[in-house]
Formats: sequence, structure tokens, C-alpha cells
Amino acid sequence: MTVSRTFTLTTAEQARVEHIDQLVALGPSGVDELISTMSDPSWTVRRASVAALASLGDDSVGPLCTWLSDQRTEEHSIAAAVDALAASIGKSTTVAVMAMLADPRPAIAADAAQILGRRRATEACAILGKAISHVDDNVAVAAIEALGAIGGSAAIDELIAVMGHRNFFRTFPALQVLAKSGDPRAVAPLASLLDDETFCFEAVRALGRTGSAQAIPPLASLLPRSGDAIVRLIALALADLVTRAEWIGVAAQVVITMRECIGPSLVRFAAALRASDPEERAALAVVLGRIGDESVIPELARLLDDPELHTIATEAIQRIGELHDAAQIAALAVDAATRVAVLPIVNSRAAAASVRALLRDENGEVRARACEALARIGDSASVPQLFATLDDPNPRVALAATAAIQSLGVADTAKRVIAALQHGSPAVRRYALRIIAYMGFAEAYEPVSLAISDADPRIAELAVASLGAINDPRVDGLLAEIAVSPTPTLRAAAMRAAVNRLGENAGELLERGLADDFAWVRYYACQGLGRIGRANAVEQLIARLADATPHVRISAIEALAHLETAAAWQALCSVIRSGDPDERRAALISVGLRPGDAALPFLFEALKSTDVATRLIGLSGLARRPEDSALEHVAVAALDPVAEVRDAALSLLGERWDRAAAEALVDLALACDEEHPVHLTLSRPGACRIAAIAARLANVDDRRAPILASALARMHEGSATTTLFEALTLTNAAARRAAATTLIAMAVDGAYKAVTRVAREDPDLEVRRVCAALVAA
Amino acid sequence: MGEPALTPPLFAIFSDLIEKACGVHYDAGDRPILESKLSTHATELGFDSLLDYYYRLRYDDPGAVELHKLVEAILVHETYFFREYRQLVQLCDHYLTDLVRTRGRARVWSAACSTGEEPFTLAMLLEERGLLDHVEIVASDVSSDTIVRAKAGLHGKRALRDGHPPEVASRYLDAGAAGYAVVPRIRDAVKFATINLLDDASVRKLGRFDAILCRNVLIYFHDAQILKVLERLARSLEPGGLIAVGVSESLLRFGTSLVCEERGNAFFYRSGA
Repeated sequence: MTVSRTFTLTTAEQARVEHIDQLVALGPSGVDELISTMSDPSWTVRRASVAALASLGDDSVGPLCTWLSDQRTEEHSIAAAVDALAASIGKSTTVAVMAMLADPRPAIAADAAQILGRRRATEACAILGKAISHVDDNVAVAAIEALGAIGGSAAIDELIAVMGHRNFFRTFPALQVLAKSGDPRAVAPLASLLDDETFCFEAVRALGRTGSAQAIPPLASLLPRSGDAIVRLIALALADLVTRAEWIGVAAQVVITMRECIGPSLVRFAAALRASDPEERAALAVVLGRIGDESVIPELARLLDDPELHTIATEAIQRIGELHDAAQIAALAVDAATRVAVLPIVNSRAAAASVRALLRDENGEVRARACEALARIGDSASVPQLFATLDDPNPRVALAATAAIQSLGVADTAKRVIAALQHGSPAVRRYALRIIAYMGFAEAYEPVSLAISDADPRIAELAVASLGAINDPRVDGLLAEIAVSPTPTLRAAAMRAAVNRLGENAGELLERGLADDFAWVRYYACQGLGRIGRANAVEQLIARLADATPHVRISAIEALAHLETAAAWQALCSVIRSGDPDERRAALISVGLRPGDAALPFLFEALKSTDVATRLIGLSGLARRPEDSALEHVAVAALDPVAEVRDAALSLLGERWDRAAAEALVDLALACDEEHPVHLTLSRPGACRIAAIAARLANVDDRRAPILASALARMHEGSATTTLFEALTLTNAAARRAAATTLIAMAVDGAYKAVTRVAREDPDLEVRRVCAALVAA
Repeated sequence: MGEPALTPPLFAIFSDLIEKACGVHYDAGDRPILESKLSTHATELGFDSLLDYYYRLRYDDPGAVELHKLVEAILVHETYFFREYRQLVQLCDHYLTDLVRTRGRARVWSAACSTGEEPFTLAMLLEERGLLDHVEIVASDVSSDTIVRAKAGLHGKRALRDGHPPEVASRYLDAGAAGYAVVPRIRDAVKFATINLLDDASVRKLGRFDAILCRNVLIYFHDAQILKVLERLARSLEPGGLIAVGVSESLLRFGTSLVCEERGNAFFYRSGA
């Protein structure tokens, strides 16, 4: 029933593609025939033709330009020629296409403009700027769009001039390009369109895309218009504006301006939520989260039921709550969904009493989050109630209470937990044992020993496992007795407990466990021997690699990772290509834990696996390895199509504090689009990253300089800001412009004075003009 | 003993295991949600480590009993009466009414009914139109626990939310201190079954339907899994039958043979065959 998405070649198509490969091999002499294949009826063959012509570089540029200028036989061939020139690797391509832009025939000039845009040919900006005023609309629009694709603020004057003419065809694309230019001079001409009904809607949205605080007053000037429609439209623009400002690193300044200009209309924005579509509601929630107070929380709470808006509404409520203690407390009184949303950010002691009351809320998630909040607040007065909560019927709540008790750790916890061991509810007794296992109270030895005889087998197991944490000399003897108990699960629990014991007794106990009949005893014995690093157990663990039970074999593999002997290494290498994926992954984890470059080939191979978990394990094995090749592989993994792998790679790069890793991040940031999470990683404060960005600012172009300046701004850190000030004196004009724009948007101390000086003294006219506009705004 | 942590590799192997068991796909952003659910479940079973728990599921779980319990524990059962109400009204007024008039009977399947609010809502609307005795409603879910709850017809307070038609709700839902009880006439009109949408044989056994409700379900599945499920649902449709998906879901990007069409103010996907 589904349409196939794979493009299977017919035999004839396959033959034609192979012929194209042969023509490529001929070099220049094959070009004419290759050009003829652009008219092949098969799309797939034409793609092969385009790729072949592009790969021939300079050899095909002249013939392609000539064909595009003089022949232009049919549409799909023209499209193929444009594609080939756009992707061409020739050094002469851009110059040749720039010459075509001067062709008097509009169709050819428009194609040339499109090609230059797709090539992101910054050297063509000047002539594309002139083409904006071409008599033919198609050429002008193609030039505008090309400048948009190239990015930066080239030809800003020409684009602004288009705003003044209000030509229907040219103004719409031009305002989009202006909005994304990041140039401070773009805001005023965009704002000038607000009083023109034809362009007002698009101008509002474009102002939002500027990410500039200067765009907010013009947007607010529309608010006196009646009705919700304008409020919803402005909200859409403001949501874009906040997103863009966050990227630039100036969200704080934008929010201040929003509060000043939009704050008085807060009630209208809150009311507009009710009659909006989902996209508008999302935008309104973003705005309300930035400028709202506790009065808007009930309206935002209504969005929590909508799966599509739940996350945005939660963020909005949390933002308001983070700013005002009163809002946190007010939100806790709204409804269960709002309580669930706000509890993760409650951190004020003023809210403690309200949170304690929620331990009796009818909603389980609220009760669980209340436990977590009390731990976060450090509310030791809540410990008695948390102990009472161990009896909650919802395991998530009881476990949250357990974790909170462990976290708060007050003086009488031991007394209370021992009392809880006598509780009538088996669940409470289990949670009490978990607390003992975590906190290890010596005075709990006797009651825990008694609990081993509990009728509930889970309690008995937990009691045995808890013994490991109790500092009492009788524990080792008791564990030895349990290790030969007729109950297999208790023997397994004894192995778990033994891991936490020090000394020879534990090692011997675990070694004996390797021969147990019950697989889980052998499993935990292997695990324990690895964790205590018992090197003389290597041979016994290697023997377990042939265990009949898969998880025992895996546990033996994991244990060998901790034992740095040659025999252990050989054994790991022997199982790394096991037929069982879990064994392979366990071996890979183990190999990755070994220092030295012998592990690298295995880890690099893992990064090529189709299995996501294997790639992730390969990456974790590369963490903190000093070899250049390790860094290169991690950087490549940062472009992995699977988010988990990509994020793990970025996390590894972000955790490194060396210059090489920082430079890899800069390279990635300059190569990736703005949505890629590498930008967030690059903007984590760090001396190595600041130094790498500063070095790259010295020679980066107009399109890339703002990327680096924004990364510094997002660090919100003194030395990063200092680097921006220093960039005002770099020889690279693009860096000076980007730094000046960013510093003024950040509104940091000294920025106005420094940029004023640049506006007056900079050797570059364009930099002076930009800075003058910044200062004037 | 702290709560077991879900590392990225563990997340990858657990999400793969769960997707194979019930089709639900977890994205990287869902890791905290899955971690919370998994660690609660594993801790209750006495595991301190999710890796130990994973090996239990993989190598020591005869009949996949524990895996089934895990799936039961982690599934999302978020639903409520009169959810995306307009679409159900349009289904009744612009399709089922005509079908009953011309053929005398119709069959509808609520393919992931959770605790039953959706099929009960449909039953209420059909009763309002005097059609309930002419339409067979089958409702299924992968979770046997929720099917037990659905059959009871007892629902919490959040099962009824803003925007519902109060007059219809008051006729068929008895409000109590703990929530709402579905009146017997409506409760008994729905036949419940435990069905995994990934299980071809189980789906085939249900027979063919004139309409299938599969709303707010596919959002939890990965594209490849969605295609398989859609294929199964399309095979379960009578010629010209309709599939309803959630308002935020669209099947157009999958290029299926189903035809998107508007009836009233709601969208449905019609079987062409």
C-alpha cells in the first residue's frame, strides 16, 4: 500500500550511469557528451550526470556556462546545468558565473544569481547587490534570494532601498533577507512597512526574526489596534525574536525591553490564549513566560493538558516561578498539572510548608515531585512526613520519599529507619532497607539481621544486600553463612553485599560464588570480583566466559575490564566479535576502559556500527583519550544523524578543556546550521573555547563572524565579553562588525563608548557605518 | 542504594527492547521520562542497576512475563472523555449515520483505547443519535491492565476536562467523589480486547471495520513502525472505510494508499480499495 521510496535503477539506467562514470574518467574530452546526458529522461541518471559534471570542476565550467547561455534546450536540462554549476568544485566557477550575471538576457542572469547564492559566493555580493535594482523582477528577486542564501549583511543599502520602493515582488524576499542579516540598520526600514497593509503582516514577522531589542518598540506600537488578532501576530513575532535573541546571546536585554514595551498589555496577551490556534498559543506562552507574573499562571496552566503545548507551557510556568517565590507558591495552588510543572523548580524555603502539604495530594506525580522538591529545598523538618510517605501506594512516590530521606540525612534518621523496619507494610520495610543500604547505619545490624528471616523474600534479599553497607565486624561472618544458604536468591544477595566489604574475606566469598549452581550468584560474583579488582581471580573469570548462561558470561567480561592483566586483555579481545550483541557491547565497554592506544581500533570500528548503543559505547571509550585520532573521530560523531550519538559526542567535546577540542567545536559550529546543538556546546564558558574563538575571529568572514561573536555572548562570562571588546581592534573588519553589534545588543558596560570610538575611528567605512547605526539606535 | 541511572548506551538498548515489544519509540529527549519509569520498576523488583535488570529481561524472563510487566508500567495512558470531540461527531453525522441507514449495521474499532474514554465517548454520541444498537464498538489496547480498568468503566476526575459538552456528559457519566462512572448502557456497548498493534495475527482476528480510531497513538511510534501499523489497519478496513488519527497527526508524508478527505470539519483517511 505504500509508495516505494527507494530508487531502483533499471538495467538500461544502470548502463547509462556506468557510461557516465566512463565519461568522467575521460576528463575534458568527455565533457560534451556528459552535458548531453543532462537531458536523459531518467531523474536518477540526470543526478549522476550533475554529480559527474560538478566533480570535473574547471574542465566542465566553461562548457556548462556556454550551454546555459546559448542552448538551454529544455527545463530539466537547465535545472541540471544550474545544479552542476552550483555544486562544481572548479576554482574558476564563481568568476565564470559572475560574468553570466551581466548577461542582458534575464533568464540567464537569474540562473547565474541562483547559482551564486547556492555556492554561497561571498565574493559575488557586490554584483548581486547591483542586480537587486535590475529592471527585470526575476533577476532582482534571484539576486535578493542569493544574498539571503549567502548570509551576512552584504548589499545592505541596496536591500534597504528595496523597502522604499515597495515593489510587490521584490519587497517580500528583501525583507526576509534583511531580517536575517543581523545588521542594526535593518530594523528601521522593516518597521517603516508596518503602516502599509500590504506588507504589515510580513514586516511584523520579519521584525521578530531580527532578534533585536530595537524591533520591540515598533511591534508594541501596533498594540493600540483593537482585537486579539494583532496580539496573536505580535506574539508570534516576539516568540521568534526571543528565540533569535537567545541564539545571539542577548535574550536578557530583549526581555527587559519586552517587559517595558509589552508588559502593560500583559492581560491582553493572557486573554488571547483562549481564541488562538496551537502555533499562536505556543508563541503566547513563550511571551507570557518571559514577561508574565503569577497572574497569568492559571491561563498557562490550561495549556498543560495539550500534549503539543505541554512542554512550552511548563517552561513558561517555570520561568515565572524562577523569578518570583510568590509565583511558585501561587502555582502550587492552581491544579495538579500546574503543580507537576512547577515543583521541579521550587527551591525557596518560603515554599516548604506548601510543598509539605502536597505530600497528601491526590495526584501521585505531585506527591513524588513534592518529595524531590523538599530534598532540594533542604527541608529537614519534613523528614517525619517523608517517612510517613514511605507507605504511599505509588512506588514512584515512595521511592522519591526514600531518596529525599537519604538526601536530607538528619540526625534521627537511623532511629526512624530502624522503627520503619518494624512497619506492618512490607513495602515500608523494603524502603527502610534501601535507606540503610545507602546510609549504612552500624546500629541497624541487629534489626537487619532479623529482617533476613522476613517472610517476604524481597525483604530478605534486600536485608542481605544491605548488610554490605553496615560497618559491623559480624557482617562478614553472617555473609559467609548466607553464601551457603539453601535459598539461591539469598546467596545472590550475599554476593551483592560482598562487593561493599573490604578485605580478603569478601574476595574469597566471591570466588566461591563463581562455582555456585544458581546463575545469578555467579553473575554477581563475577561483577563483585571485577569491582574489588581481584587480580588473582583472572583465570577463574576467563573460565566463566564459557559459562552456559549468557548473562554470567557478560558479567565475566565486565569484570575483566577492571583487571589490568595481559591475560584479561587477550580474553577481552577474543570476545569483542562475539555473535551476541550484549557480549560484544560488554567487551567493547571493557576494552574502552583500558588506557593506551591498543583499544583505539576497536573503538573506531564501533563508531561505524549500525547499532546506536554500540556507537555510544565506542564514544564513551574515547572520552578523555589524548590521541588526535580519538578527537577526530569524536568530532565526526558530532555530526551523527542519531541525536543520542550526536549529543554524546558533543558532550565529550564540551567536557574537554584542551585547545584541540575547542578548535574542533569551532570548526563544527562554523560548518553546522544554527539549529545544531554544537552551538550550545561551544558557548559553554571555558578559557580554551574563548581562546579558540578569539583566534578564529581574526580571519573569519562576514557570514561566520556573528556565529563566533554570539557564542561568546552566550557564555555570559567576563573573559568572553573581554574577548568581544578585543575583537573591536582586530584587523579583520568582519570580526569588528560582529563584535560591535553583539556588544551593543548585550548592553554591557563600556560597550556604547567603545563602539562610538569605532564608529569614529575605524579604518573601514562599512564598519564605521554599522557602528554609527548601532550607536544611534 | 540510590536510584539506578539510565546512561545513553543503556537508553539505546532499553528503547530498542521496548520498541520491539510494543512499538513505542523513545527519542533522545525522552530519556528522563524513561529513566524515571524504568528505575522505579527495576527498583521495585530489587535491582540496583538497570543493566542487571536488562540482563534479567533478555536472558532470564521465560514467556517475557517481566517484559510485559515493564511495558504495562511505562505505557502512556493519557486520555479523557470527549477528547477531539468534533472529529467523533463528524464521524457519526457524516459517515456512521448514513452507513447504518443504508446497511443497517456498522463496526468501529478504537485501536488504542487505553482506559476506554474514547470508545465510551463514541458510544454516547451514537446513543444520542439512536444508533448505538446498530454499531458494534470494539476497543483494544496493548495493556491488559488498562483494559481491565476500561471494562470497569470507572474513571478519575481528570477523565473529564474543559471543553466537554456538559449535557451529554451528565447523561452518561455518574459523578462521584473519586471521579465518574460510565452508565451501564454505555459501558456494556463496548467490547474490549487486549491487542498489540504489532501483532499481525491478533489484528486479523478482529475482522474488518467500517471505521478505525487510531488517535494520538502513532505519535509514540517511529516512522517504520507507523508504516507497518498503518498497513495492518488499512487491511482491517472495509472498502471505503475510514481511519481517524489525532488532529496533530498526519499520514500524508507516508505516501500510503489511504486518501485524506474532509467530512464536516474533520479529516479522515479513506481506504481506496
